Amino acid sequence: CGWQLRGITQLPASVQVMTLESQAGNRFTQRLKQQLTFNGVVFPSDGSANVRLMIAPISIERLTLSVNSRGQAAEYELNAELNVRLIQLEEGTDTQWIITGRRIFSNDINSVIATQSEEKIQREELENDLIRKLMNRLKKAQLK
Amino acid sequence: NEGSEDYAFRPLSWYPLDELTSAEAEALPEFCSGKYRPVAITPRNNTSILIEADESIADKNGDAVFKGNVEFHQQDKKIISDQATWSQTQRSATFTGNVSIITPELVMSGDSAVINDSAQAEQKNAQVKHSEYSLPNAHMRGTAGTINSQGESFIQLIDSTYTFCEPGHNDWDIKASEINLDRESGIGSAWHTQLRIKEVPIMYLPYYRFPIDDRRMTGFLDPTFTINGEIQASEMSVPFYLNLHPQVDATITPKEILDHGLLWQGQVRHLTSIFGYGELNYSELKNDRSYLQEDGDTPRQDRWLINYQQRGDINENWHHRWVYNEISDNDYINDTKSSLGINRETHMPTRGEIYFDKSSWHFNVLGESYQTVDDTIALADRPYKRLPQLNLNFVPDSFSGLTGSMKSQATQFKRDNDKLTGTSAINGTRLVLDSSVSYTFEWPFAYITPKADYNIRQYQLQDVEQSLIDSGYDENPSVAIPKYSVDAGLFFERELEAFDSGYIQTLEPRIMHLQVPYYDQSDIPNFDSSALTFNASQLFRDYRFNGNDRIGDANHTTLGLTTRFLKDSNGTETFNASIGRIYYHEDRRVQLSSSTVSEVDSRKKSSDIIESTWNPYDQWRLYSMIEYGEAPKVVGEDSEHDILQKQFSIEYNDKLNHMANISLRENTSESIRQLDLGVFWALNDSWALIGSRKKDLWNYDSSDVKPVDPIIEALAGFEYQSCCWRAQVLYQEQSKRLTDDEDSADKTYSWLLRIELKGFASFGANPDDIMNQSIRGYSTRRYFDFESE
Amino acid sequence: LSLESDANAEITIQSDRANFDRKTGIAIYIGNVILQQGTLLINADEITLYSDQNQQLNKAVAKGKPAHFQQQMKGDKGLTKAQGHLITYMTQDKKVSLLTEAVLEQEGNSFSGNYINYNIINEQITAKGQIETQGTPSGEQPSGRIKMIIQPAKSAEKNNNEDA
Repeated sequence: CGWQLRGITQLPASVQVMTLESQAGNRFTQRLKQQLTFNGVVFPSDGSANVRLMIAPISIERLTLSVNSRGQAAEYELNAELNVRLIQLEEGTDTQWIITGRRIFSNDINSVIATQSEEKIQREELENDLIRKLMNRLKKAQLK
Repeated sequence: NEGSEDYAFRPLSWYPLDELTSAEAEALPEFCSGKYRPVAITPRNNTSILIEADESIADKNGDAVFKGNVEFHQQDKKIISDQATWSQTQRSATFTGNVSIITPELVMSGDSAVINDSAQAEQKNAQVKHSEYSLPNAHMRGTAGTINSQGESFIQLIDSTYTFCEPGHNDWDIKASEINLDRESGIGSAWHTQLRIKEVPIMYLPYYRFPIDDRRMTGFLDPTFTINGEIQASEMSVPFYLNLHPQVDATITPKEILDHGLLWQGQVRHLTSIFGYGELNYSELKNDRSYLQEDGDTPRQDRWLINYQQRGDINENWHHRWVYNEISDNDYINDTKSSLGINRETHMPTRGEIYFDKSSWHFNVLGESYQTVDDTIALADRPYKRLPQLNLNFVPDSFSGLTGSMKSQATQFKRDNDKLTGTSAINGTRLVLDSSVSYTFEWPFAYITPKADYNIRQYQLQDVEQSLIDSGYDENPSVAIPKYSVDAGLFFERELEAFDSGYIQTLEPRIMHLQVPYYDQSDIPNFDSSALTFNASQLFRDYRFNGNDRIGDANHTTLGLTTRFLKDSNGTETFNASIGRIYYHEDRRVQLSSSTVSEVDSRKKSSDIIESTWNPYDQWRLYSMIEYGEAPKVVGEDSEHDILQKQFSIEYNDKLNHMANISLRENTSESIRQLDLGVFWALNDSWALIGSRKKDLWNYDSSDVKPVDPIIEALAGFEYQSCCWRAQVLYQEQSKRLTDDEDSADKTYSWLLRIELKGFASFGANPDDIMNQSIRGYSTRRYFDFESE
Repeated sequence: LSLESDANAEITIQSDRANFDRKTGIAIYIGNVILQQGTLLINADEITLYSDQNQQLNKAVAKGKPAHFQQQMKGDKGLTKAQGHLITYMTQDKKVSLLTEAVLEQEGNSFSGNYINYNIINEQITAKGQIETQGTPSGEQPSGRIKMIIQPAKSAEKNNNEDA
């Protein structure tokens, strides 16, 4: 029924050389750079790259998803939004993407420190999710 | 160099709908009959004056009379009139007949005008009689008996009016005997001002100051008020802002709360290069009336809140952040700020942290304690203070597939334990050293990642009761536990046509085997560990517990399958679904000591998790998740297969002020079943319906603590806006948070009224925060407020 | 008044060709004509001089694309320059009229338009965009507007004596 093993999924040649301008915190930038390098992207330090990948600070909003019978927050929901701009200097293109992600975790009022560290884990996994989706977008980027 | 505007000048630079370009007309909301266009004058490149007319007569000392649609053009200022006279000696010009003075910020038209063009800039002045004026970029206009402008930055308007409304509509305006606009200081001041609705005065202020640019200025901010169910003003406040110093400002807000009394709120903010941004919030409510009504004899209580926040950068890699919270009693926030949404937090953190972040190194030292604002939480379940905790992590970049990390942590846990007994009374320090190494074999179609961890814990416990020590309780327990896991996955793909566009569908089977030997940790106190929320991501984690006090033994294999639909054209993931289950080969013997779960979890397999997200079109988002399986055995109960968790949500948002969401959430372990609704629907540009509701559907049995009403939160109302004002009328229901053992929290019913005079001020409550929380996407709504395009 | 010395200065004219009609007293000079009388200077493609019975010059008509006129005004007033397709200079009653694309500059201020009339005695300049009466020599539609450019005020400290 048409299934075959995934073939080579290189990033388009036009993004193989880029400068990464990320305001999204050290951990996210570190992991994104690692993923890009793993997919063959080169970051010339002299800023001569024609493509600039600009990452805005990630906004992660925490909502109270559900309330228990005592009116306390029972579960939280994290909604992440990543604003990315891919600029080609010579061709003058400027593609903008909004990538979203969501996670739910419960609020254990009897171990507040643990809930705090679970939120930290959920935020890190949410960031990895955003990176995976960004890589998929890059692989399909229609650039001149 | 004639001004090359591509549109002719119109009085007040206001252009009715039929003269707008199609793009402008489309962006214009229906309720506006036109729009201001920025005045497009190509400034003359020298300071000479150009006067154009049908005819002119000049005499010997250079004075001239001009007749026939005169145009006077100097730098970026233009004056049009029927006639004009120019006096070379006084260097002044008088204009009569349909006079319009046009500058980029200000357009004035009147019967006559006199301008003086002296050499010194500050003596340049102009005077216009019986005029109408407008500030096109600020969407402001008005009339004035006389306008005097001095130099480049000072304008005086004598018995004038001032409004945001479009020409021909005077829904509201400000009438004042004198208005001065000083562009240098950015301050506007007005004397004998009347706020008029449809030209009927409704408020009088002898003197009123207002900012005319975004610089900060001392003065009153917008007053707020909310009305309760019995149509009484339940809350009223008038904030006063003090611009003390370019780096320091303060806001003092007296707030009259009907059931409690007068609350004083103070906020001081400062921004310095050394300390970064700091904010102190202190509020105090003396002689709270509510205590008087309940039991007369207890002395009236003073209630207060202190909140301090600070964050800043020491240098490029070192940063610091601090928060301090202390409140006088558990209900303080919900009694004094309920109109801004109910605070459902049970603990208030106080935390100071200094951290270092540079490529693969991370270090931080933090001190933290919590104030528990909920008496129903047992003392034994209250959080420990971490005084201090140090973390040092080294996570280098993976080197051709080889990834390693080393995380170390030292923490001193301490809490007040004189009322606690047994293991709950134990304090102590803990050292943690987690190192992990993994190697990823990766091909485009598959990966295999063997991983090995070694987790070391070392405790020095204090305050251990003698009885425990006598029964062999180890005061310095330590464990060192290895962890082995192999994670592998395959990627299948195929091309697919669906929803009228091309897709690549992926099929991603994944398997993970985890092996963690059992080490008895029942003697180790639980400082910061808890069970993790069981969801799709938990299936493939190699740890069962959160925090560092429990390293769960494990011998299981997880199977998972994920499919994704990636749009061929741009790579967006329009659909994904995944299913997963864990097969346990051994019983899990390590548990959280104080949990009600039986000592050993002997389920043979975990519950199944099915999760999927679908965005058929940009505006739609459907999410669903089900956990089906056997609840962990509770002592004395046999468990059968059931749906333990589920969530279905549908969200719509077309980014044109049409948004709605409905979601059902159920989680048996938290005894939650809740239906959420949220809608913000613009019927047309003026009218919009607003509604949201959180309903508790859990069937409580008689012994449980039940909410007083299944409707936990509700909001219903509408918004109407015209070109220059907006009104929001909302009915709100909120059930407060129970903070002690009373049987049920009371509910508050209120009306949130808000009148916003666009560009001037707003009166009434500010429901934005509540709507952001309960209506998904509300924070991205459009406002049509003429932010300058 | 223009400089006194101009009125009785000797007139010199150069041109490619010239012909003179003694009976009517009209002299026509054709081809980059230059007329000088003291500080008065006119150059044009064609100048026609009309003189009265006792050989006094009473009118000079200069045609050009455009023709130029220049004269030093009284004492400190500086040079007045003018141009136009048809310049008529009435020497006796001291009037200059400029027709079509007329420009007159005086003390830095300049007038432009289709019809400028400059009365040298009372130094009055009238300018009109539209001429109702005579047809224009070249027949194109006049632009209908006049323009005056006024130089910025000289700042007081720089040269305060010159302020009129």
